[in-house]
Amino acid sequence: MPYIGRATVTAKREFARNMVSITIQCPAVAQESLPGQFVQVRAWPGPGTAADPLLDRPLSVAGVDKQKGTFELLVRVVGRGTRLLASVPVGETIRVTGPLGRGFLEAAGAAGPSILVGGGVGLAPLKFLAEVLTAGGHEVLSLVGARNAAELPPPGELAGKVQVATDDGSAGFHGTVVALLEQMLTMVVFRSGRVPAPVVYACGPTPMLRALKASATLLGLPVYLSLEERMACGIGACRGCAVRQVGPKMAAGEVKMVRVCHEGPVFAAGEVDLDA
Amino acid sequence: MPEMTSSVAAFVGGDGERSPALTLPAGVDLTAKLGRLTLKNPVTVASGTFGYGHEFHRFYDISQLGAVMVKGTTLHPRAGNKPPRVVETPAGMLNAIGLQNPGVDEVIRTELPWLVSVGATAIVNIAGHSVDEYGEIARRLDSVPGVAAIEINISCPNVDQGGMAFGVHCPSAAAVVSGVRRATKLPIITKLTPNVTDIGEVARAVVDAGSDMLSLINTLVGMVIDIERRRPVLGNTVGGLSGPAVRPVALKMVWDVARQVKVPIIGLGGIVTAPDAIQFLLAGASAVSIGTANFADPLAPLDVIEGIAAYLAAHGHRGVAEIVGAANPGFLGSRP
Repeated sequence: MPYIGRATVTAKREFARNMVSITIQCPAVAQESLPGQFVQVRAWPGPGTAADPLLDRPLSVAGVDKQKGTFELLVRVVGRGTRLLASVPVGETIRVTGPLGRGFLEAAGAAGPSILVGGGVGLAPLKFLAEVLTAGGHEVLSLVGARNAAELPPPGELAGKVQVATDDGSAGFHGTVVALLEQMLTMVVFRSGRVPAPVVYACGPTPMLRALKASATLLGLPVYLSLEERMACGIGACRGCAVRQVGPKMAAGEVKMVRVCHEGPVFAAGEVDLDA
Repeated sequence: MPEMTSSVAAFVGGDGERSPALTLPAGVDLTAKLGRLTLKNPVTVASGTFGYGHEFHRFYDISQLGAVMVKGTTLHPRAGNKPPRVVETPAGMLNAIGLQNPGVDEVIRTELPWLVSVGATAIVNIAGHSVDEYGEIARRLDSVPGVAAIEINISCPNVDQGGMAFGVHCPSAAAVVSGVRRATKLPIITKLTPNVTDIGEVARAVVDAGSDMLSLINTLVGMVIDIERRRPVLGNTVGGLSGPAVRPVALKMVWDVARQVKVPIIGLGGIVTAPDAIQFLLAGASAVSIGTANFADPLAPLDVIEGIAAYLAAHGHRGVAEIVGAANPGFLGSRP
C-alpha cells in the first residue's frame, strides 16, 4: 500500500540551473521506492481549505537513503505548483502519496549493463536508477543532454560513467543526446560476443523519447522509456493519463489503453504509441 | 460563505492526515434511505472519479462508503479519447476521458464480483449510443449479484454519440429512462447534465418516465487554449469542468430540482468537505457524491462521512433524513 501523509523537508540545494533538489524525511517512501517510480506531492493546503492548485504534482523519486529514511526530488519550476514546492523551507511538511507506478527494472525484468539517456527533470529517475545499477555491480553509462553547459548538473551527481551533450556545443558533444547515442553505438559494437548488449533507459521530453525510440529500434537495442502525461489522480483511478498500447502483444484491431501512472510510467518503447 | 459551523470546522480534511478507518459518534444513524435503495451512509463516490474501486481500496476499505458509482460502462469496450485528457483549471479541472471502460460484460465478469467480495455497494453507471443500447446494458445488469442500482448517464459531455446528447432534450431523456425501466427492476438513478436551459424540466421528464431518483450535476462543458501552440489543450478540444469551482452552480441546481420533484436526489458537484456536503443535504439532496476531490485527497470521502455524523450529533439529530431539504422552503420530498 502506498504511503499517504505528511513528510518533512530536511534539506534543499541547487542541483542545476532552475532545478532544486529537495530531501524529504519519509521512511515508508525511502524503503519502498524503486527507480522510475514517482510520488504525488502537495506543498499547499488540502482541497478542502483551498483548491489552488487543486491537484497534487507527480514527481519522480530521484534517490533514497534507506538508513536515514529520506528520499530526494528534483524540482524544476514550471508553474504555480512546482514554485510552491520549490519554496518550501527546510523543516516544513508537505503531503506525500507514494511510491506509485512501475519502475525501470520492473518493466525491463532484469538488470544488466545499461545506457541511461535524459535531460532536465528527466534526470531525476535516471539518477536513482544509476545509483541502484552501479550498487548492483552493473556497468552504467549516462548520456545527459542540456541546452547549454550552464544547465548541466555538476559532475559527480550521477553514479557510473557520464557523457554530456549540449545543443549549443558549450560542453561535451555538440548535438542531442540521441545523436550522441547513435554516434557511440556506431563506433562500439556491443554484440561482439563478449559484451552483452546494453539496455537503454530514458526519461525526458516526448520528442527526445520519440527520436530515441526510432534510432534504438534501428540499432536493435531494448529501450525502456519513462513517460510524462498530464495526470489528475496519479493513482490509476481517473484514466486521465492513458496512452495507447501498441506492439506485437496486441491483436489486430485491438485498442487498449494503459495508464502512465499505473501500468507505467516506464514502458518498453515498442509497447506505447508516442505519436498520439 | 458565512463562518463555518464550529461543530464541523474540525472535519475539513484534504490534508491526507487521517486514519483509513471511520470514527463515528454514538447515537447517530447515518443510513440513507433513497426510496427502495438503502445506503449505509449518504456519502457515495461519483462515477468516473473512482474507476471500479481498486485504486482507492489500497488506501482504505471502500465498503465504508455509502456506495461506489462505477466508471461509466458501455455495451462494448471503449478506448476513450486521445490525450491530453485532463487539465487543471482554477479550483477545478477539465476532463475528456471519453468513457474509457472494458464494456459491460467484462464489468460483470470481473469488476462487480470484486466489488461484492470487498463488501462495497455498487451502483453501475451506464452510457449508450442509442435507447436500445441503454436498455441492453440494463438488461444484462438486471440479475447480476451486487448491483444496488443503475445510474443512467445521459450527461457525459465527452463522447460524440449518446451521452449528453440524450440529456439535453426532455423527449430523448425520457425515452432512455423508459427503455431502461422496461429492461430492469433495479432502482434507476438518472444523472442530469447542467448544460441545459432548465434542469427542472429534464428532471420532471425523467421522473415521469420512471426514474426512481436523480443525481446531479454532471460536469459543465468548458475548454482551455494553449496560447503558445494556439490550439485547445485537450485532445478532445472540450471537456467537462468539475471540482470546487462548480459547487455553487451544482448546489443551486439541486435546490431548484428539489422544489420540482419528489424523488430522492443525490447531490454532487465540487464537494470536498463535510460542510460542502451538508449544504447539498440542506438544499434537498438525500445523499451526496464525492467526485474530483478523490483525485486531490484520496481519503476525502471518509472526512465527509465523519463530518456529517459530527454535524448531526452536534445539532441533536438522530438521522440524516432530518436535515434533508431543511434549508429549502420549497422542498417537495418527504422527510420523517
